[in-house]
Amino acid sequence: MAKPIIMPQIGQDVETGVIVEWRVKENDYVNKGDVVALVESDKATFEVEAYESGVLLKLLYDAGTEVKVLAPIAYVGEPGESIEEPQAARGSLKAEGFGDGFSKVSHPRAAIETATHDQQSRAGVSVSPSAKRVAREHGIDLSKIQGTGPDGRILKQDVLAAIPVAAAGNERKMKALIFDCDGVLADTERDGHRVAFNKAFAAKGFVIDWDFELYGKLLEVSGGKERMRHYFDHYGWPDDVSDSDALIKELHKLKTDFFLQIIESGEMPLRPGVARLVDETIAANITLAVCSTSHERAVNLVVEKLLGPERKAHFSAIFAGDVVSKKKPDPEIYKLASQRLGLEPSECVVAEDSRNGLLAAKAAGMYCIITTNGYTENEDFTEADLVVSELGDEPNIQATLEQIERIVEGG
Amino acid sequence: MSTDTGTECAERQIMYREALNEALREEMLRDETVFLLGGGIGKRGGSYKVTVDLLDEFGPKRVIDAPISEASFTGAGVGAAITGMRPVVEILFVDFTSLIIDQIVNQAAKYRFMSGGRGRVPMVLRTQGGSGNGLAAQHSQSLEAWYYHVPGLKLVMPSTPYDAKGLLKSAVRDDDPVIFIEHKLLYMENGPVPEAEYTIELGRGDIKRSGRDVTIVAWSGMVSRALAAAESLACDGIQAELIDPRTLVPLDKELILESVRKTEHLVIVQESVRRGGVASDIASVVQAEAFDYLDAPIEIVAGRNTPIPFNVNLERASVPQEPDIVEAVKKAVYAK
Amino acid sequence: MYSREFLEQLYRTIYTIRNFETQCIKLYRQGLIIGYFHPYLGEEAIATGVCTALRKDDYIVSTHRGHGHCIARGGQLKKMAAEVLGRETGYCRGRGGSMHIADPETGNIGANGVVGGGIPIGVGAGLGISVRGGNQVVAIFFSDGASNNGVFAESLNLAAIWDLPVIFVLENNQYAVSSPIEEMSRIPDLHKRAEGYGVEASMIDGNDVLAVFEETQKAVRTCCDGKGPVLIEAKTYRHGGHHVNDPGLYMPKDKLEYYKSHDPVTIAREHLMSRSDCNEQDIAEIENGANQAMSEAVEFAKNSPQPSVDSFLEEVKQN
Repeated sequence: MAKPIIMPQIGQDVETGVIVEWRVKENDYVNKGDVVALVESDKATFEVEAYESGVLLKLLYDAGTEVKVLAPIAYVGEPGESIEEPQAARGSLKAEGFGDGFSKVSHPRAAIETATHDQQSRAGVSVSPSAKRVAREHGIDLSKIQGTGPDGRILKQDVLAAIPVAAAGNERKMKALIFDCDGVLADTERDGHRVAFNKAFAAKGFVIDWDFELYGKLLEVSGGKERMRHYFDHYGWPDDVSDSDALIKELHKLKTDFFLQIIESGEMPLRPGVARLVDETIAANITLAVCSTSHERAVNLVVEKLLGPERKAHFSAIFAGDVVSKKKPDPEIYKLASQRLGLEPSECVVAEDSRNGLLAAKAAGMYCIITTNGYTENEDFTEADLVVSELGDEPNIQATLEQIERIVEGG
Repeated sequence: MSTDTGTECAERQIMYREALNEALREEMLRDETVFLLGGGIGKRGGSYKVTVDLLDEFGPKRVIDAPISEASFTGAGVGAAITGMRPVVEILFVDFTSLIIDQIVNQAAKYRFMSGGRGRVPMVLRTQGGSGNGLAAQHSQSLEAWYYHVPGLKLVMPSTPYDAKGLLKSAVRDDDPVIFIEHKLLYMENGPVPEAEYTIELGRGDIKRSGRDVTIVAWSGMVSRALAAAESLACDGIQAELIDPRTLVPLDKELILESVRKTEHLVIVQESVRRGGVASDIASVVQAEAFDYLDAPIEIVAGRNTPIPFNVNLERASVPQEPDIVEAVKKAVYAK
Repeated sequence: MYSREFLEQLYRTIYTIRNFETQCIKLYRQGLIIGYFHPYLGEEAIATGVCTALRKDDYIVSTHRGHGHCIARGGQLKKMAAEVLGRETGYCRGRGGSMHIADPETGNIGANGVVGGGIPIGVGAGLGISVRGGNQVVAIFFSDGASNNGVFAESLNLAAIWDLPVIFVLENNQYAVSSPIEEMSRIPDLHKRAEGYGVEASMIDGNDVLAVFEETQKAVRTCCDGKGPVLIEAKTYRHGGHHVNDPGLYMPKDKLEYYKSHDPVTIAREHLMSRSDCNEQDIAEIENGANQAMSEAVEFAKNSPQPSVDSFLEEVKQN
């Protein structure tokens, strides 16, 4: 194929050049580097050279023609070689796509359509996105809701209030199921904290293993750092420890990171029956919540990773961390929960695993069921409404929602 | 479980500027390529006393007093960083960074990219901003939005001595240019800082206060005001969760989104002028990624559309104060 | 005084630079290079002379007109050509382009798209040397245009008060884009400014590669003795406009003729022939070698892949 000689790029935003004159004729032999033409932009004149040697097979345009930059203006090759037909590259050219500048026709604005996939509120009433979400999740007809926000805006609480209470017959007395986290949702002490401590020791190269039994004893010391200090004081510190405070701090940080990793990884399982009971509660449209005085992030992560984001979305509240100043057995956290959930304490059932938790729930005026774990099974649960070793999955179910509701119905 | 909020066992209390001083000192001891460059930082120990005693300890080759030629000594920092050093350059007021914009924006921020990734600029640009001392319009600005906007820079604004020390150490160790903006009103504030060495990862925010009802995002000088507002709101039964991003670029977006999904109400507080500020960008991210979790419009409390006035009352009125934050939160949660 | 090998290398370098710029202009005209391209035609002796006097571990900083300095520092033609063609195999993976070519391996901190932008950076490299210790030096190339920018004055002062091992190489090609130096400065011999800052300065013929080399050697010695910085004003002239699309119609024909007749490539060739037993054939061999290398570089560049847009979008997502 013959090789093209092109109109060169002769300026930043220049789109065309004009052929001023040809220095060769068709059928002349040209050497690489010979000047074959003179072209110009509106600023300057440029020489066009041949980049290949050969016979000037064809001149595509006469002198004086304006040609698009980078388009062929001539062909060089062996006699008889074929030439591609030039694309329409001459004449005055405008940038494609805009015609004579921008469109001068103004189009009427399309009527703004209200979203039809969400439930429609009454015309002119605004609905917060949160409210829309909750309405969607529960199949609530927004047009029936009276909003309590500014200018009648429908808020999440307005939709929540409209979620129907259960089935025909008696109005349900049990309105909420509140879970403690550690030891109830998962065996965090045995499978989480204990394992994390051991990983921290291993990371520092210490050959220390807190087994289930030893850990049970160590749990009598509250606070992770204090627990480690207590252990070292009794069983001996590792060699070459110059700064015990620094070591404890470092170990504790490692342990915290490992604990979060364990939760993050999903390695730690939910206790038997937890998922089942949560699903039963969701199906019955009973409020779900968590009350824990453990660290906010960890509790949220436990719910997120172990119960999953879909179930988590059904929890109305997760109270954790420093949200209260007094820890269990003080009832502060359960009082806060009933206040926030807008429910009477007597409408709430708490699931706990320890005596401290039981006392807190009872002092707040709530019902309390206990699922014991390896570390608490010998505590005193006299005041509890139900005590089981676990909620249980098939074939060992020990507590169902129906059973729990009956306790509340019984008064 | 410990977080890095520095609330673990009884720690000593030191000032924000002392914490910064310790960070610089520790990093200079640890790595001999770290050196300091700025106006009056050597013999004088810095106008805000951040660099006191460092000249005596490290000598004039590593604590260098520069003349008032900001563009060139910042550029010198860039060049030194490209060729293997880790300079910490100080520009006394963020207002004067207007004089070094080319070296920061066109040179430092872009060198890694323009060189196809082969060149790095491990430099820290320390400066300070904020109002409240009657220093008037050219010495009181909050200009973080300028640097938030430029790809290739990291942007850090610590609000406590604990955060300041941990973040400055990480900034020095970072291989990319970091703009580190302190606040003039915080230099003498005390806070708990551990004796033991620690760093805080850039890009990790901090929950300064947990709460269920509303998320407040605030940084730098506004954190203490937001905290005070949160305490006051708690008396009215409104529990605010206060998030301090600490690093604005890269932003700990997930921390904020997680909180908003929980509280479904958001108030963002910034000292700088509202228009084109970081708060507006955070709000846009939240509405894009947590749209279904907003029970109210996002409230932004920001500086007013004015240069900072000299008169102390006018100055106060120009930037968010505690009552402004309380009012915004109440509006967000539809409280009376 | 100079070995034939040395003179040959000087000539080879100058010729390679001339050839690189000339071939790239052709590529530009063919639409293979886009954007801005600022040819170093006519100024080659300065980059060659200065860089030849530097050691491998010294640094340079250059300007928007920076291909010559890159080549003189041992830059690879293939990677340079690929970069100006915007290909993945270029020095900067196609992300920097003509104005930002940098090569850490040859101590080339980089060309710079901001006039004067590189001067403080070069001072910074000098500062690093001073803090670390050692006898590396830095050569900062900049133009008469940059000498009127605030950072030049500041940088000269900083280098002076801190005794930095920096050689300020002022390539006075007598035009700042289209502004002639006589109109932009009352005193067109710009090296005189250095005196006010206590900096040793000299003026030389920038088109004579040996003059440039010898002056730079002196400057390197001064810097290594801890007596830096030094400023060298090298007078020269562009063979064309400011960039490839500027025909330079404002440049008076007689001055252009004079400098073209005083061409640095010709002068280097004359040095080679008069000071050694090199003949026309030897010269032709050198030139052919350089032409061949350039052809290979252009082929390499043309056949190199474009950077992947998908990878780029992935990379920038991390930011």
